[in-house]
Amino acid sequence: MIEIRDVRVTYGGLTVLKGLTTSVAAGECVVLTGPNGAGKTTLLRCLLGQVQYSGVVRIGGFDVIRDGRRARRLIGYVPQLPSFPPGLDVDEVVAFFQRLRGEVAAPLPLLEAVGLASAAGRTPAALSGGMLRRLALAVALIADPPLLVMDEPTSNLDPEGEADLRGWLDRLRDRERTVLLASHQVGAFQHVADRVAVLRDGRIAADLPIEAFLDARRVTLTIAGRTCDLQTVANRAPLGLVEAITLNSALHLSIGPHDLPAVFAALDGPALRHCRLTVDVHDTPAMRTRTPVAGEESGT
Amino acid sequence: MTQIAVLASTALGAAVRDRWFVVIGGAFCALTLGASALALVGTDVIGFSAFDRTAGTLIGLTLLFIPLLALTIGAGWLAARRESGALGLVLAQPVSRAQVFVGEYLGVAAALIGASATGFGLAAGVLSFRVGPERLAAYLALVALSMLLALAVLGLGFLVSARAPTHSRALGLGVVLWLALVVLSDLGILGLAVSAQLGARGVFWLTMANPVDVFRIAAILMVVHSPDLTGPVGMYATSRFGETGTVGLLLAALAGWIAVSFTAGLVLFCLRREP
Repeated sequence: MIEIRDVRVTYGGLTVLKGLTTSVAAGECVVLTGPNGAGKTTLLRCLLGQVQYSGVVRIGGFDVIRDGRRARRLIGYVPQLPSFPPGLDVDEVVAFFQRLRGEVAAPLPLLEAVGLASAAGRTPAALSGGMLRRLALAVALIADPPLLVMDEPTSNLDPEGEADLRGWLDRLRDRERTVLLASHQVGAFQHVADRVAVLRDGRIAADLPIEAFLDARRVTLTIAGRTCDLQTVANRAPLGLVEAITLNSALHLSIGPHDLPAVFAALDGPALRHCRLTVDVHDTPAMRTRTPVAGEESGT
Repeated sequence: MTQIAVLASTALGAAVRDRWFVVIGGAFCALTLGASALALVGTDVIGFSAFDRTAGTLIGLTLLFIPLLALTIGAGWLAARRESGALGLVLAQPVSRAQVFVGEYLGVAAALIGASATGFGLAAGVLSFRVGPERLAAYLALVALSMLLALAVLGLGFLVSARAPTHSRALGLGVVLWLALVVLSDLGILGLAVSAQLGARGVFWLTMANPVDVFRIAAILMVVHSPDLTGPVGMYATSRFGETGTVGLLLAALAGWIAVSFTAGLVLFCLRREP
C-alpha cells in the first residue's frame, strides 16, 4: 500500500530524512516512533505530497507527486493539530470535506460514529482538544479510504477517547484497512499494531514486530551520580534503540536486551566516567534482577 | 469543477463572516449611502450635477476602500489557513493545488463583488430619488469598474498570500502594497517623471502599472466624461487615443492586471509543495 524508497528531505540546509526506505503492506497497522525531530511528521507529509523531497513515494501504486489526487483519494489523514476551514460549524466541516471528496453531504452518521453528534451545531473553536481529534477522525473516515494516516493520534485524548480510538483501529483492522500512525506511545497500540518502525536521525533505525519491540523495552539502564552530566550522556544515547526519561536526577534508558552492547558503545565517553550505572533486567516479574554494571562513581 | 464550486462557496461563506470584511465592507456601504444622501440636498453647482458630485465621491471611496479590503483579505486568506493548518488538511484531500487556489479566489472575489454591489446598490436606491434613468448606464459602468478593480487588487493579495510564510507577514505586505498603490504611487510616478525626465507618454504608461490609477482615470472618463478632471496623464491619453480609445486601453489594462496577478499567484502557489 505504501512504498517509500530513498527519500531525502532537507529544510534550510538541515537534512531531516536521509535516504529513508520502508514499506507498509495492505492491511498492516504500523506505528512510526522515534524522538522529537526524528522526521515522523515530515515522513507523513511526504505521503501527502506536502514536502519537497527526492526519492520515490507511492500510495497504492500511485506516485504522490505525479498522481497526487489519485494517491490522496486512498488516504484518510488525521493531523497532529487538527484545524479546519474557518466559518464552519462541526457538521458543516464534515459536509464540506464530504463534498470535496465527491460524496453526498451527510455528516450526522459520521459524527455519531465518532461520538460528536451532540456537537454538530457548535463551532470547532468551542471544542476541546480531544473532540477536535474526533472531528479530524470523522473527516479522515469520509469515503472509507483504504489507508489511514494519523499523526500523534492519542495526544489530547482522555482514556475514554484512547479506548474509542483503539476500538476504531480494531474495526479498521477487521476491514483490512491499512493504518500508519506516528506516536511516542507505542504501548497504546500493542493490541492493534503489527509492526513498529523506529525513526532516528532521518532513517529507519529499527523495524520489528510489535511484540519484539515491547519485549525489547524490558531492560532499564539507569544513569545517575552527583557529578554526572546527564544531558551530555542523554545526547549520546542512540535514541533509535532506546527510550530516554529523566526522573529524580537520574536518566533511565529503556533498551532491548540485544541492543545493550550497542548502547554501551554509543554512551562510552568522558561524560560517563562520573556516573553510576545500574541495569534493571525484568524479563518477567519473577526473574527481575538488579545487576550493577559499574562501581560507584566509576566509568564503564 | 465541482470541487472548485465547493471550495468557492465555502470561501464565500467564510469571507462574509470575517470580522475585518464586515467592518471595512460595512464602512464602505455606510459611506456610499451617506455620499448619495448628501446629493439629495443642495443644488447643481459649477456645472456638476448631483449625480456627478456623488459619482466623484463614490470614485474616491472606491479608490480607498476596495483596494484596502481586497488586499488585506486576499493577502491574509491563504496565509491564515496555512498557519492554522486548515490549508494542509484541505490539500490532503484529492484536490489539486490549482483547484484550491481558484476555488478560494472565486469565493473571496464573490464576497468582494457582493460588498461592492451592496454599497453601490444602496447608493443607487438613494440617488434614484434625484437622478433620472438617463445616467443609469454611467452608474452601472462605475459599478462594473469597481468590481474589476476589486478583482485586480484581490489577485495581488492572493499573490502575496501564495508565498507568505505567516499571516502577520502577509497582512503587513498587503497593507504596504495598499499604501504603495493608493497613497505613494502618485508621488513615486512624479519623482520618477522628474528624475528620469519622462514625457507625458512615459508617465501615461507608468500610470498603467497601477490598477488603482487605471480605475481612477477610467471611472472619471466613463462616468463623469470630463478628461480635464483626469489630470495631465488622462488629458494626454484622450488627446492621443481619443476618449473611447483611452477607455478601451484602460479597460484592457485592468483586465490585464486581473489576468496577470491571478496567474502569477496561481503559478507561485502551485510551485510550492508545502501547504
